Order: sequence, then C-alpha cells, then structure tokens
Amino acid sequence: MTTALSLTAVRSRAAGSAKLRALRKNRLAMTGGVIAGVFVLAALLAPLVAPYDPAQPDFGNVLAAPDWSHWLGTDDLGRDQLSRVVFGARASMQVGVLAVILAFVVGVPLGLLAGYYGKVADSVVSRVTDTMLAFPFLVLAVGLAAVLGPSLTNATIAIGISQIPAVIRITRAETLRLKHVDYVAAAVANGGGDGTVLFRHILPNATSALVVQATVGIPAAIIGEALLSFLGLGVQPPEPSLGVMLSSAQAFLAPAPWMAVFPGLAVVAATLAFNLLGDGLRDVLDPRGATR
Amino acid sequence: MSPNPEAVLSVRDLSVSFRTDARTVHAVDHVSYDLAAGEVLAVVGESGCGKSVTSMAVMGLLPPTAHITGSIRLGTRELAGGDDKAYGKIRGKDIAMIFQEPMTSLNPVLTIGRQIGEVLRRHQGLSKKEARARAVELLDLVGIPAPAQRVDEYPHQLSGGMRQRVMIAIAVACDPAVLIADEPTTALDVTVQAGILEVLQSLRERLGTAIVLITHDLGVVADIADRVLVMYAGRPVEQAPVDELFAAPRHPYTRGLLSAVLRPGASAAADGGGKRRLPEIPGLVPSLDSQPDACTFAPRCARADERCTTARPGFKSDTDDAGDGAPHLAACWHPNTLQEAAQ
Amino acid sequence: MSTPVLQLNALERHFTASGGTVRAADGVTLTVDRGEVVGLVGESGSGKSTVGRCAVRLDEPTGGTVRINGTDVTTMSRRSLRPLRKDFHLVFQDPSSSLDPRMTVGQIVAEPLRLHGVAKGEAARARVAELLAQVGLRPEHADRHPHELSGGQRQRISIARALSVDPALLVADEPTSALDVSVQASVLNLLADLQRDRGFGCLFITHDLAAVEYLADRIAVMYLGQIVEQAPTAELFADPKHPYTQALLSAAPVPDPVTQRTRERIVLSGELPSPLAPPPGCRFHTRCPLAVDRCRTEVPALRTLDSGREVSCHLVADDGTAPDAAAPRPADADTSVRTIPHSRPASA
Repeated sequence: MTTALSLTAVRSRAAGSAKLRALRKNRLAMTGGVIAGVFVLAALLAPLVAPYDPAQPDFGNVLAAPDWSHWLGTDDLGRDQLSRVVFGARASMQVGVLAVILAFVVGVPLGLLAGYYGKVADSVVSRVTDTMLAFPFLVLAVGLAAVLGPSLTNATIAIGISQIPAVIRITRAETLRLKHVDYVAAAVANGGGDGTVLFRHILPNATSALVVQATVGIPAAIIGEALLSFLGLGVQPPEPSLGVMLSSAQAFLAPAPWMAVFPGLAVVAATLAFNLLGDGLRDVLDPRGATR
Repeated sequence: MSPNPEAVLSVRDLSVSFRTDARTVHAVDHVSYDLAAGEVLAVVGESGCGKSVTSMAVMGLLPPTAHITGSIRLGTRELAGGDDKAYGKIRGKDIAMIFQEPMTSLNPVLTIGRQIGEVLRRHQGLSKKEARARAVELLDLVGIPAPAQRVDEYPHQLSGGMRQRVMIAIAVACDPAVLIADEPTTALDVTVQAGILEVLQSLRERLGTAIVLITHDLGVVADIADRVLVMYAGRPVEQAPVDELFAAPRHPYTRGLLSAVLRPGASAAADGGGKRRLPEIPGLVPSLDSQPDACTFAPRCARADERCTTARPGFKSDTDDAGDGAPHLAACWHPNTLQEAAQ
Repeated sequence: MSTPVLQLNALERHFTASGGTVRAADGVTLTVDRGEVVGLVGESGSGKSTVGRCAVRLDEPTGGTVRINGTDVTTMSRRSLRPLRKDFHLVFQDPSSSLDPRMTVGQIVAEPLRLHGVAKGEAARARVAELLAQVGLRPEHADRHPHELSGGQRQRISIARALSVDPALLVADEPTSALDVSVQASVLNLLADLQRDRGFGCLFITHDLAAVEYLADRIAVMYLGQIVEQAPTAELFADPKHPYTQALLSAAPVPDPVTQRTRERIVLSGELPSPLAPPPGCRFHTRCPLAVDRCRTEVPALRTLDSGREVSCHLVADDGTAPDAAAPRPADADTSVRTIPHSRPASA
C-alpha cells in the first residue's frame, strides 16, 4: 500500500543512528543487553570480581546461608557461592561464545556453498543438516560429549557441532533469498565473480539474520553447558560451573536451597538476557530501517 | 466551506497526521471535497502526496496511531471519529473500496462466490441460495464471462484483470453510494486496464455509484473522471472539472505534472522526428514533518516570490472564473489566468 | 555496416514447470545497432524481460544465439564471460532492490570500475564524482546509502553504475516504471542525453508506449514469447499493422480528456493464454477480433514487408495493406471486439 510505503520511506530517511536509538527505546532489549553485559564483564573480570577463591573449601563454614560475608551463602564444602557463580558464568560464557564461533566458522561457508551453488553441494549439505536436525539439540550435544569425553573443551566442541545445522540452515535460506535479489544480479552484470557476489553482497546482507542467530545460539550453548556439566560430561569438579553447582546442589535442596537457587537464577538470567537482546536486534537490524 | 447537502460524500478540512518517535508526519493537510451521485472524482498526485491516506481515512482504515481531524459526511452521517463498530455497519454496504493488488485482498481458500456471498449475507441477510444467485448476477455485471461457472472458482484460477473484476463485484454487491478505487488498474496491463475502466464507467451509469478514483495516471483520469482533485505534499492544490483542468491548469504544479506526462503520438508530431526534451519539475517533494505557513510547492516553483514562502495560499476560485458549473479552485498566490492557462 | 552490438537469433528460453514447459521466449530474433535505441514492448507475460536478461546473460538461453559485438556469448561460461561484461550492462526496474543497501553510493558506482580494473583508489573516486555529475547528482552523494535517496536519484545511480565502464550496449528493463510521473520524465531525459552523448546501443524494455515512443528509434512488439511486429517508431505509431499492436495502441489512455472521449478503442476479449500451452496457429488468434480459420491452424511467420517492416500476421499483405481491428468485418470475424465510442453523460 502506498500509505505504508511512504511512511517507511519517511522513517528510513533518518536511519543510521536511528537504529541505535530504536534499540535504546526497546526497553526489553535494553534490559537484556545490560544483563548480558554484566555477564560478559563478570566472565572477563572473574578473578577481580570474585571475593574468594572459588575452589577453596572452608570446612568451618559449610552450607552457610547468605549473609554479609558470603552474599550468596556457601556450599557443602564451605566454598563461596558468589565466587563460584562468577567463575561459573565465566565457563558458561566461554562455552557460549566459543561454541557459537565454531558453529559459524563451519556453518556459514557450508550454508553459502549450499545456497549459492545448489545442485549436488546443496543436496549433500542439506541431507546432512536434516539428519542432524532430526536429533534435538541437547540430545545431540550430550551424545557428542559422551563420545568425546568429559572436559570443558570437549563440551564446547560438542555444543558447537550441535549448533552447526541451525547456522547452515539460516545461512542457506538467506543466500537463496539474496541470490535472486536484483543487486546480486547487478553484481554479476558488473562482471563480479562468485567471490564478489558471495563476500561483498550476499554475506554482508545476511549479517542481520546471522547476528540474531548468534544471540539465540549463545543462550542455547549456556544451557547446553549447564546440562553437560550437570550430567558430568562438561566441566569437572572442583572447577566451578553453573551446571556442576546445580548438580551438587541436588543433595542439599532442603537444608541449603540457595545452592540451587542462585546458579539456577544465573542460567535463567543469562538465557533470557541474550534472547531479549536477540529479539531487539531482529527488529532493529534491518538495513532499510523497519520491516514491520 | 459548509458541507454540501446534495453530496453523497462530503469531506471537510480533513487532516491526518502520524506521530512517530521523533516527529509528526502530516500526511494529509486540510483536504475538502464533495462527491455527487454518479460522479467520478479523480484524486491525483505523486507517491507520498496523501491521496491514499485521505481515502483510508474516509474508509476508517487507518491505524490507531493516525490522528484525524475534520469532517467526513456520508449522506447525512458523520463518519469522522467513528469506531470500528460504527464503520463495520457501513463499510461494504454504503461505502466500499477496491485496492491496487486484488490478489492480496481476496481470500485464497474460499471460492469467489462465497466471498461475494459473505458480504450479501452480512449486510442484506440473504440466504445462501439467494446470495449465490446474486453473486452470479454481480459477476455478469462486472463482465466476467460464464459467471455461473466462475462463481465456484478460487482466486488463483483467475487472471489479474478477472480478480480485480471480482473485487469490484464484492465492492458493489450491496449497491454502495460511494466506491473508492485506489489505483485499481496500476498493477494491470493496458489492454486489461481498458476493460476495468469500462466496468467502472458502466457502474456509474447503471447503478449511479459515485466513484473516488485514486491514481497517478493522467491517461486514466482523462478517460473516466468528471472532476479532478490534484494533491501535493498532503495538501490540495487544484480542483476542477476534468476538461478545464487539462485545458487550463491554474496551479504551477498541475501544469508541471501535465507537461511532464508523455503523450503517445506527441514525439513524432513535435518536430519532424527530432527528440524533444520532456519538461521536468526541478527539486524534490518536501518532507511532511512541518506544516509551514507557506506554499509547499514554492521551492520548486518558477513563479514563487516572497509571499509564497511566508503565507499559505487559500484553496479558492479566482475572480475571473467563468463561473459556469463546478468551481475551479487552486491554492496558489499566482495562479495562471484563464488566458494564460489555455496556452 | 558495422557489427550490431546485440544480435539475438531465434532466442529461446523455456522453463520446466510443474505443468510442462513454459515458453517464456520462443524464437526471438532482434538486433540493436551501435548507437541505436530499440524498444521492446509487451505486456506482462510477454517474455520481454526474459529476453532482456538473456541478452546480458543473467539468464541462460535454452536455444538460439546471443551475440554481443559479434561474439557468440550464448554458451560461454560465467567465468570467461566476466571480462566481456564491460561491454554490456543492465538497468533494472526497481532501483530500491537493485542497489546493495549496505554499500555507499560511491562503492556501488565504483564496483564495475574495480572489477574490470579500470580505476582504483583516488582515480576511481574522481571517476565516480564525474559520473555522479553526469547523472545530475552531487559529489557528496557518494557517501550516502541508497535508502537516504529518492527513487529517481536511485535510478540515476543505477544508470551511473551501468555506464561507468562505457558499455557498448545498455539493456534497460522498465527503468521508469517504478517512478512517479515527473521523475519519469527526468530519467527519460537523462537516458536520452547520455545515449546521444555516448552513442551506446540500447535495448529499452517497457510496457509504456509513450516512453518507448520518446526514446526508441525502432520498436519490436512482443506477444506471448514472440515478436509480432517490428518497425521504425514513427511508422509503428502512425500505422500499426498487427491487430495486437493496434489494440495495444488504442488501449493506452491519452492524457487529454477531449481526445480520449472521442477515440475509438479496441477492447480485447479473453485472457492472455498460458505460456504453458500457447494456442496453435497464431498465438494471438484467441483474442484477435479479426481471426479467420487460417489463423487457428497455421503459424504466421515474421515476414519482411515491401517497406522493410516486419510483421507476423496472415491478414497483412506484402504491400503493407493491413485490416483495421477496430472495424471488423462482421461476417467472418468473431464477435470478440466491441469498439466503444466512449459514452459519457454530457454534463457531469
């Protein structure tokens, strides 16, 4: 409709900085962004932020309820819960970011290949993707981690691999869409080769979708890490991890509920924060301003 | 101006603005017109001039973010300020609208007979059987061949032109007093367009439907309109009977628009095969953020002087107007006199 | 005579669809000489855009040949075609989708220069400024993004990009259809000026008869994948031979109410047949007001008349005598035409 079109045109003229402004206006996204930022900072500055050594037991002060010296209480070995949550967040972020990077490094080129060249490349990549997607993400991650053996690195690899199909799928869909857009045809008509078309036109225009996918991938990886560690397939005690903390809290739910509550809240907060941020970015990250 | 009692549709000082985060967009700024029974009024202008928003406001189809002032009278009823419930009773019955793209306005999973019948059953309480019989009649009215078979087909089985005919059939099913057609032929080929214009023409003649035709195509205007309202940047700039507008445009924008449009056969006739330059209108359409107390066309106008940039011209008829029949209005401080305009 | 910049010979583009084969272009023969503007006119579904895309090898022809500057490019690989792309370019219909939204105007216009190694760095920047000036934009537009500009300005950028490497052939696919009337005029003026100054050959694809009349030296009319008539512009408008051309010319409303009211127009009945199953014989016979039995069985060839014009209709004699579709002989013609002496109440 002409109405809608002219309004969009009016709106998009002042784009650029408007994007940031729009994101700042989106309360939920901003809340998500702030919480996510806190997590990232905590992860980076864990040794400075944490008041105690997270692995140092204090048998004189086990299962202490939250008080002024231990804000989040202590666990069954007297370790400071706050320090363990901070270091646990560090492990979560490490897995979250590295797994997503791994998934993108492998998934984006395969998605481009399948979407742009089609034919045999597409059939092969799509069949493999479909097969992997037949398993729920966490089941796949657990299976892979079991095969690779328990460690933080292997958990990261397992989660990264399980996220590859989703990345392939979204890259392939974006490539298929962009392949038929006039400016890509124009690039071919300009004398551009596959490299120009893929890396100067298709990939940059697919970034919005990929950024959104990353913000969805990070919380999924955080949950994945928690689950793997909970099952003993990820971070090994005494190293702190939100999953390990939840796992050991099971036995003390009645006497020391704070052992489960705080790491649990941390997982929920991190997941929610990244998802909210992702939703906000999805709305804002369109090069022409708005699509709604 | 007070509302004309004889008009089937009377719009007075209609303004529509949209408030966005950063600013307010004045999409329509004090538009007035009257529409008589059986009359075709063409609303003409380029994209963003507010011609569609005006009609959406009349139909009550604007989103709640739109701020509407002024009066919209359909017969004796005041529509402005009406809620969805009030509009629900008259939309499709007393006033109907067709759009540029018929495919998106039709439900793909219902037969066209059902879709026409639905309106009839809602507003006229016809039985299923009666509605179907009437649907066949309506398809025949809009020139669809073999209507008794076509009534059971789905939208995707029809061509673009046929779909637009179906939309028209739905729109006129309850014999509305006013039909608003928003660029009804823009998505269609010229040979198909000719057929649709013919249908609109016959509706006006046979049913006495008054039509507001929104278009950017001056050929279509010349074909079917009785009267023309030209809009620029949300404001009305000229209104006149069609012959007068084409023969003697008063507003410089109308003159520019008319001279910029290409006329088949004109190139060869112009100067022995040599290519003439097409007249252009320099500059860009202004933003709709502000409502300056000035003529909004002044920055692009060769006649503009100080008055044009400091005071908004009224939308009025000039004193040397011949004065026969419908008035010729223009919003300009320096309109062409009749002698000048006719040249 | 020098080699034409574009020669299409019996060009075919068939698509395999679920219902069979879509014959989007079916034996199109057309040449564009150096410095000539050829208009390719047709309605939607006529295959005119497919012909344009095949001509610049953005679509792969399934038969016939495409020669550019005499070189057969029909089956050339994409890679070996790349250096040749300097010689031909395309302007798309919708300037909002043909410009990469993530690039600046400067990057967009400079892309062909960069890809063909014509200019780099400072030289490219200077050339871009020059090109922008030629299409009526200011040098500072180079730092803007497409969405910051109006539709007409974007189409100017598209034209600047296409002409940046001085191609011998420009294919313009409905370059003005997405634009407002007053902007259309300025883009047509620009194309005409540039064409006169630079002398490239141009295939101008459009459904807008007035635009094609303004710009083209010669016009080819397409119907359902085939060219039905070809003639110099003035002759075609003055004396259309093919009944379809006659209908097309009469259907386009003239922006003058007095003329429009007295004109007779031919309203075609029926629908454009599906390109999946084009009618036998003459493809236009299902809608032609003059069709006779022969038209339903025998395919008319595109013949050259004595005057040099080309037309594919059984009813047109070699000396150019053509029947008038607006006045069908009632005896042997279908009743599929109604000419409308445009009734209208005398006073509104």
